[in-house]
Amino acid sequence: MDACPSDARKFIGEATTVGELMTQILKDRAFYEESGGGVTFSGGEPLTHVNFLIQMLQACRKVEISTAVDTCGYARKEDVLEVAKHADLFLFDLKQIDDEHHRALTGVSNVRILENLRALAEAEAKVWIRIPLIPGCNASNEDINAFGQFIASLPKRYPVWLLPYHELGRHKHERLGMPEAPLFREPSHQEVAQAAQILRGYGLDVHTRNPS
Amino acid sequence: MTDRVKALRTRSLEALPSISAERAELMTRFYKENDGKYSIPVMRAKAYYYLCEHKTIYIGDGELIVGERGPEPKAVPTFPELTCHSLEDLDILNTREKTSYVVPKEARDTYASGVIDYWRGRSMRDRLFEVLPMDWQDAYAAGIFTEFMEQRAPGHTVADGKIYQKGLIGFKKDIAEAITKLDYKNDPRALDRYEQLQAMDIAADATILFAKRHADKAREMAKTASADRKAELIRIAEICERVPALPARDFWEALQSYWFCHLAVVTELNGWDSFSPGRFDQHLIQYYAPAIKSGAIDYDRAKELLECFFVKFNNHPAPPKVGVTAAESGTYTDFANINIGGLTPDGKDGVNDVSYLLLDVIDEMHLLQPSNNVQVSAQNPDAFVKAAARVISHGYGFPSVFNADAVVQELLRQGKSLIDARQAGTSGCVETGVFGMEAYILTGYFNLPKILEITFHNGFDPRTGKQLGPQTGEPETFTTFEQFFEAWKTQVNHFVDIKVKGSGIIERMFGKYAPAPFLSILIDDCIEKGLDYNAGGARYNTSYIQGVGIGTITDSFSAIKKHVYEDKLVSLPDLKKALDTDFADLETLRARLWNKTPRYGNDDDAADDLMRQCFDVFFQAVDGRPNGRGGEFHVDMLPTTCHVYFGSVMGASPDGRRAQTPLSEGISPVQGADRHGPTAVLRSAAKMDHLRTGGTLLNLKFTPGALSCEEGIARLAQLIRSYFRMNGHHVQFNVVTADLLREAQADPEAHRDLIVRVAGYSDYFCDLGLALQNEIITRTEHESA
Repeated sequence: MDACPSDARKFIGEATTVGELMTQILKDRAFYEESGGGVTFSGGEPLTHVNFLIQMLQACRKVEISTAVDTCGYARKEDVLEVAKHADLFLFDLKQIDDEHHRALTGVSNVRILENLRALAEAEAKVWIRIPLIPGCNASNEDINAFGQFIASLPKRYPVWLLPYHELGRHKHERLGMPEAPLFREPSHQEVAQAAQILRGYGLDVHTRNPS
Repeated sequence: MTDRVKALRTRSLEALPSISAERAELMTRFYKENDGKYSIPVMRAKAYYYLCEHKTIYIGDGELIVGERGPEPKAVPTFPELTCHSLEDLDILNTREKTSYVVPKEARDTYASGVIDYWRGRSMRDRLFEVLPMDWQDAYAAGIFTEFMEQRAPGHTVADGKIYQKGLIGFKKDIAEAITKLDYKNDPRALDRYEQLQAMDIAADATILFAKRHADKAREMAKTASADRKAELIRIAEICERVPALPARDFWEALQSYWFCHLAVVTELNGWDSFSPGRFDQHLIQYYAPAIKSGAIDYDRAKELLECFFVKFNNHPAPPKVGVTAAESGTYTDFANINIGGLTPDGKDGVNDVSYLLLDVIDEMHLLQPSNNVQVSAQNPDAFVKAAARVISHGYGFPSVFNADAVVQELLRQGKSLIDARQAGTSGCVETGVFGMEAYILTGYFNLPKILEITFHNGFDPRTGKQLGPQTGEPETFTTFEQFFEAWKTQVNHFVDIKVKGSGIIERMFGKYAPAPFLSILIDDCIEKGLDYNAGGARYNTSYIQGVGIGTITDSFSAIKKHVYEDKLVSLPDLKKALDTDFADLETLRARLWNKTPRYGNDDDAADDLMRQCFDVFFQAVDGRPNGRGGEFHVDMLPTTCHVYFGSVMGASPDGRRAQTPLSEGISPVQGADRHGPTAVLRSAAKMDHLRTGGTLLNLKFTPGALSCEEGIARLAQLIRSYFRMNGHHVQFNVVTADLLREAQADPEAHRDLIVRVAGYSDYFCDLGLALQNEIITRTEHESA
């Protein structure tokens, strides 16, 4: 990669240590302090690197930088609960409540995911639930009502973010040399508003980000 | 916006800048008849009086604030006693593509039939080039530095609040008192002081006369005006009888009072950065607050008056420049700059209702002039910063944002008192000074990267073919990076020496031959000292040299350090050859230098440490040197448009920059060099020690999407606060897309009102030269993270 003088080819991703990563994080500390922001651990799936993740969370807490973990929830319950002890916030994705439908879309069952969310609620962790709203996959009235029912049933009330599908990630398929991805469409403003209304009917605090 | 303001605004936008030879004609006539009769200061004051007596009085339809610099809006007077344009110059002004001025036939004829002949050999410029040493002139011609005062007077100052409470009659009393205090027995300069004070008194009378002539004109126009307008004209006449002679009694009178003083300053001489009302919200609140309370004025009326006031500034394109001075400041903007917010003299939050009113005016008017800025202190509320951020997000490049707390510290370091330092602000582009009592004169831009080219050539300038600097060694002789850096340092010091020596001469010339008696009235302590503003009469007399190209020079040294001395990719002599041929057949090398060099702007200490070293060399060469007015030299870091000119006079640079292309601007990274987002740029910029400067200029660019919602506004406000926590001096925001700019390039007519931030000021994109347009496009665009 170094051989290319114009930086036309580069690796995405590099190996790093807790110390090196903390050095990078600390560079922008003045900005987090002013804005009330912090570090979000995302991916991929951060819970596939539980030990490293926990070390990073501890290191951030030590210097009073707030942390968030962005996860799909498909991990061992013990790991989730352990991480919950050290993180300030979870950004927890929910894709589909119906298990069969979930398998068809993602290849795995959602039982573990839903259990983990419930366990976090029981442990009183701070969580923001995020639902990627994708017409044709999880945006029917039935789907939305299932979301509402499930989230309302949790022992702790969590806010919900509806994230409408967008096309911005398409170029990644090309760059990764992947075959043409299945085509989804972006939901309309009305569809998003409608889904939000249904969820609010369950007494939930719902935030929407409209398709740009 | 009321219909009246709409009409005035449209008229202002549509009027074409033109040359008026009226001032030249009057000035020439007066000098022909009277030269030799009076001392120089009195002669200047009487000439100014003659102008006020005879120049055309203009009152436009619907205007509430009256008075023009020339015979009509956008008609710019000339100052042949400083620089007399030749007929060729006038033709260039008339026909050049950018920043042109219509030159009516009568104006050209006036010049041809006597003005040019009289001022040949008499103008300041002619005199200056007679006495400036050859090494200065060679360096100037080579583009090592520019010279502000070869076409314009020093200027560079801002008003404080004295005029509103005192009136010119009040100042005349002070002048009379200073005259009685003159000690002819013990003070060898008592007679000079007397002449100067007399000149100030005459200048005050001249301005009062000028105002009264407007009263006469208004009454004349009232005779045939409609009922509504008649009442307005009668009130205008009343106001012009009263101010600026007597203290202003209300909001309207305060605006008009300042405006007459402004006109006086820019009629007497064509000083840089026009003149500015300073911390306007703090001066106006004492009129606004009681009037709102009593019902004498309401918000809308106050806004209307301010908007009429703003239009007046927009009617004043900069006095036309030619040659190098045109290239270094290639714009119509004359840099009057209104400060909003900041601190009160006792160091508290200075934001008030007029602050927000002014922001509303700025947001509504979208005029090129006046420039405007917000002074942000930790004492100022977030609501104010957010209100400013909202205006910024609308994309006109206004207001720019300054760190009021850093400004105080900068001035304290320079030795100003705390109370004085708090009454400071920023003017022009980003320059720091104490309003009402400091002459903080910029002397010219300094081409840091060009000096590296000179160093490569052992003191020789390949472009002009002259040995300009000392022989510091051929490239072969530098076995270590440090040695080469030292050589550059030696060259920098050599050229600063030349510049400072030249400035000493120029200052004395202006002090002696081109005093500014009216301006001296308004700036403390000229009356007390009996000394002119141009001769050291102010309480503080500072000189500045502006460093240009810190990004380019840093990246250049970074490239040399890494590729020549560390990785040994190329030898220094071979690099020199590559630069000399503009990388002919060496594109791989150039790409490597461009892409594989640690660059300033990425929060990378490898590069940023070099930035600090380069800055320190420039700082140590300049800071603290005495000037001829009892003050010192300091540095500031801003380019106006000079980064384009400075790039055009040099070849390729070691960071991969191609020959004759623009340098980096302000303290921004090289265009396109920052790859780690705005926080990294701010962190790199903050590593410079801003508090040791008199101003730095940083441009950031965002697309509209990034700032389109309240969250984006809040983020912008937080970004500003974070940068200022790190002692950053200033930041300004361009909020347009590169695509829109390219569109505007292709179709200027459809984008006539597109205003962008250039460097410390905004300008119409379509008025900018192609090189500058392209440079702005390549300035990095930060997508919302």
